[in-house]
Amino acid sequence: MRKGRNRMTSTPLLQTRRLTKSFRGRKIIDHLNLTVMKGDVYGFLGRNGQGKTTAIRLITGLIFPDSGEVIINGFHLRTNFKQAISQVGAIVESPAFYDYLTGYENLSLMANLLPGVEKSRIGEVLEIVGLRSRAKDKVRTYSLGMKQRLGIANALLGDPPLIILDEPTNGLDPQGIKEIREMIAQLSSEKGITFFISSHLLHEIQQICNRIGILKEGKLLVEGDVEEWVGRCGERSLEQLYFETTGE
Amino acid sequence: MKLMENELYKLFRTKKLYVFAAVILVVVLLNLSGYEPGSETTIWTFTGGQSAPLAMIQILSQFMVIFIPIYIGDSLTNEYRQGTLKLSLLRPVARSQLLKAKTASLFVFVCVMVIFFNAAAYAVGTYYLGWGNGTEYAGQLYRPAEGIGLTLAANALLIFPYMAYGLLVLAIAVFSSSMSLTVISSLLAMTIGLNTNGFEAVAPYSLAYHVMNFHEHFIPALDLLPALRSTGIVGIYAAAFALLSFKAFGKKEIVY
Repeated sequence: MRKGRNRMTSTPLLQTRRLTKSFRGRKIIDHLNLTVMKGDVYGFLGRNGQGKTTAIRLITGLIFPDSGEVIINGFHLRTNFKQAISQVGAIVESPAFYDYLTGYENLSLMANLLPGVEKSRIGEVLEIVGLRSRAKDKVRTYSLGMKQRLGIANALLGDPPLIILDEPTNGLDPQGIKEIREMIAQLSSEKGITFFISSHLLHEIQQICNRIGILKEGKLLVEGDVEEWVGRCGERSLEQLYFETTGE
Repeated sequence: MKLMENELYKLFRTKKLYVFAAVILVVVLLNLSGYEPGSETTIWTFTGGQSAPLAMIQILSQFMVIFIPIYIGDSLTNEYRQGTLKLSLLRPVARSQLLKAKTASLFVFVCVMVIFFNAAAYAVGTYYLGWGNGTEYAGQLYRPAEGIGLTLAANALLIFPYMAYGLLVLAIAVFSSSMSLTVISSLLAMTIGLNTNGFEAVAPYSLAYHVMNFHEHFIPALDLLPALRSTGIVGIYAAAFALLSFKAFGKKEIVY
């Protein structure tokens, strides 16, 4: 599986500048500067509790930074929220839906909030994620893997240039993990979508990402191309490099 | 507008609305099935079904005190807790627009409950007592058309304090992280308020008093000064709670 093959230009699609966030006096995100280029499949690595989800919440405007800024496709999140968030489709933490509604109804409600999105797009995204046959079933009957796929369908609805997935393979069985991984690779290569994927699963990230950033205690320790990095370091796996970098 | 469409879609697709309607129907049935005007078991004296909705109007208020926190707790706190609030917040909509849509759907919810209660009270009252010669209210007999007008007016007027109470609950829901906390805190606030109704000096300034009695300054005859004062007091409560809710929701950190 080739990775990040659609890295089209060196234009940044997502940037954070000195992003900082504290909770109860403890710094969770510490001057985070990361850059995701158009066409990247960017792996945001770190152990549980290092601040990955908090960073994603800051990037998507669900929580507010103490200082610093988020720029998405040239739009500042703080001052131009609507334009900035229009560039993003995201699953933050876990895919939550109204379980008393069907998959189709859930997507229909969300499509309502995206200007210019036709109802026919719902069928298209359900087709892409392989849920068309279950579209009329209530979400409460879906497995976790199906909810993840519905979450990706929801993220794809507005055809955004950037999709953010927070631990997209968490809780999935090996088959589910494989399906999600293949879907990301396919969307990246065929549709040119840029992905920002957080994970603590190094092997997963090495398989699908062309660029990575490693987060430890809210600080970005390193950011760079996976192939270049691994190439420089010979045959060592990303896992070894990760442990050397983080000192864990 | 699209946000409001979404909120209304959810309102009519959840079971809650229909459960509340069923509860109202059962309560109306229980109150009217064995009813004998002026008997020892009741304080009511009305003799015709057309008087039932006005006579029972405070029963509706008592249930709205419970239904409104459950509705808002589910619509805001539960959505926050379950993560579905993020679905809307990750779209290009302002937080204030989302809260406005939730407030508008609360208004629709209140109206649906009021309409259903009156329809049920008219239907069940007429079934057990017959339609009657006129609407009996506050010791007077009004012609049917007048009586229906009074009933509609009383109910329409009570929507105002119900909404003010709803905004109080909304403010509590914005600060709360669990539905049970929202419901219990709202009921506690209202219970405290209802317990002050016995104190004449305090009662007119209590929102709980107006949730029960707001219409009495307007019907059957307008009592101008108390009516204006009550409107002002309820309006201040509504404005203060709305301001608090919108300010707090704009800054709320979505961590679920």
